[in-house]
Amino acid sequence: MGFDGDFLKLQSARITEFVFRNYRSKGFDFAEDIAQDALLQAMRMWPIGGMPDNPEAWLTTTAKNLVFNRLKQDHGHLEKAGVVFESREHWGSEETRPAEDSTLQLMFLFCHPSISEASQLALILKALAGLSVDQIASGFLESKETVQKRLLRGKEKLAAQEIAEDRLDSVEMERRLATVLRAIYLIFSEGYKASTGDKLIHFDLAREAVRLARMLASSEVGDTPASHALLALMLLHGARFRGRIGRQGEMVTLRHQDRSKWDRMMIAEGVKELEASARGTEVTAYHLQATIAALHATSESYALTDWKRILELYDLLLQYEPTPIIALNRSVAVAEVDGPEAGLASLETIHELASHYLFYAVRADLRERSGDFSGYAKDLDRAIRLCQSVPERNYLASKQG
Amino acid sequence: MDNVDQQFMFLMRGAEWGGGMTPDEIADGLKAMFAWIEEMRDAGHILAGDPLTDQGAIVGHRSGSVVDGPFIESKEAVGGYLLLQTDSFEQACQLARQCPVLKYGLEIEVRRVAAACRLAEETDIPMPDLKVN
Repeated sequence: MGFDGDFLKLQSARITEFVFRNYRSKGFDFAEDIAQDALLQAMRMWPIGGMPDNPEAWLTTTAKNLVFNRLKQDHGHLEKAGVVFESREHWGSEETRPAEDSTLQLMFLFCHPSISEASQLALILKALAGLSVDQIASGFLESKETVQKRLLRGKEKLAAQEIAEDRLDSVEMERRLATVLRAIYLIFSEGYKASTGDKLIHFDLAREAVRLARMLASSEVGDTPASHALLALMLLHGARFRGRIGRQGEMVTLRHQDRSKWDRMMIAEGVKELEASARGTEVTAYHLQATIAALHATSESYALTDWKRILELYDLLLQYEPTPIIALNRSVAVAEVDGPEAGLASLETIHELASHYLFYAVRADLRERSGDFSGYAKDLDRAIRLCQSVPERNYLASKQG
Repeated sequence: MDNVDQQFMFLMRGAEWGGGMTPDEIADGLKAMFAWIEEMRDAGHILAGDPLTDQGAIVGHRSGSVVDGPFIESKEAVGGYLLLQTDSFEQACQLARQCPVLKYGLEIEVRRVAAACRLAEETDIPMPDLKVN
């Protein structure tokens, strides 16, 4: 059968964008409902009636009929009062965009500066990645109500004047590209390392981020070094997913991962994207992170990893993004290059992570390696108490033994 | 040989089943439905089947007029039908129970097709082989 979930997500985005563009005044919910109903009609009819020759055209026609019927219902009382309802020729000649274009259009629309980052992510995940509110809530470990509120606020903004008058031309899209990349990056990060909850990786979040980034990087407006670097970064991290989870769903640290479980095809694609990102002169934080990920992904073993080069990259990355988590990761590289004591010394400069379990988990490891066993036990205990991710907490607890 | 005694009509009921399904779930539902029907077809059970659109009318005496559809409000609306041949009513129900999207709200009404049909005999409407054992 020539379709899968990704095909239907693209079709859903195509119809949503088409209806929203032509019937903006009806609101975003209207467009989303039409797309959802068209997909459901397909599910109700295709199995008994047989696949249509052109599923895409079938869905378009169905969507147009659904719009017509809805508007007719809405206008029913007017009709009775003698108002003639506009004929369907009004929009019959209008065409939909190719599905990828529609997906990108919506993505850039959602990343309007007046929409909060949290709402941007929720809208992308709901309307483009096809996740349910439940799935989004569990992905970010938030309540369903919170996610619903974010969606609602985002949709209100979409209907508001400032966005209705927004002209999403290529200049504006270029301006907004960084925000779109950041949204995809945040979705992937949450999928890559579920910070809370009972799963180590939220595969659906990570998978959708990669799918959207692929689409973006191969589009005209998104074909930039930064997009390719972001895609490379996600592929190179994603390639290690299977190695990061043990048989019982427990966390396996990089040092102990079975590297034969890593996805060679994804690593190859990631390296190719990293090469593509080197065209041009732009270097972004994504480039540096992707290069670090590539060094890990292509190393034969933990010991043979080029830690010196990784440390250099972290030094550079800190200039781009002076965040405590990057400083923490840098300390691990310092310890590999100059020994655990040097790693511990560099940890002392990080003050913002006093309530973050990772800080104590890393310090516990370095203290153990430097022979400070009482400090190790104390830090491990603190890390376990602060950790909100079940697999990671189990991992830490297993070291307590 | 067709045996009209053992023919059953599956009336697929529910105009709104599947609400809230995600694209991935819909894709899975579609695949499972295709597989369900294919299996029944391969086993020689399916004689006919079509989906129904929501265009329709109810023609009756009471109001003396034709009432226009669509009848969206009707949870009982028939969205499609299958004509099956099985060994027994139980087997027909068994096949219906295996429909993979019942959990999403689709309901199947299973009805036995009556053996004798005088209308068909009198009017030459093409019918399945009426030879009854």
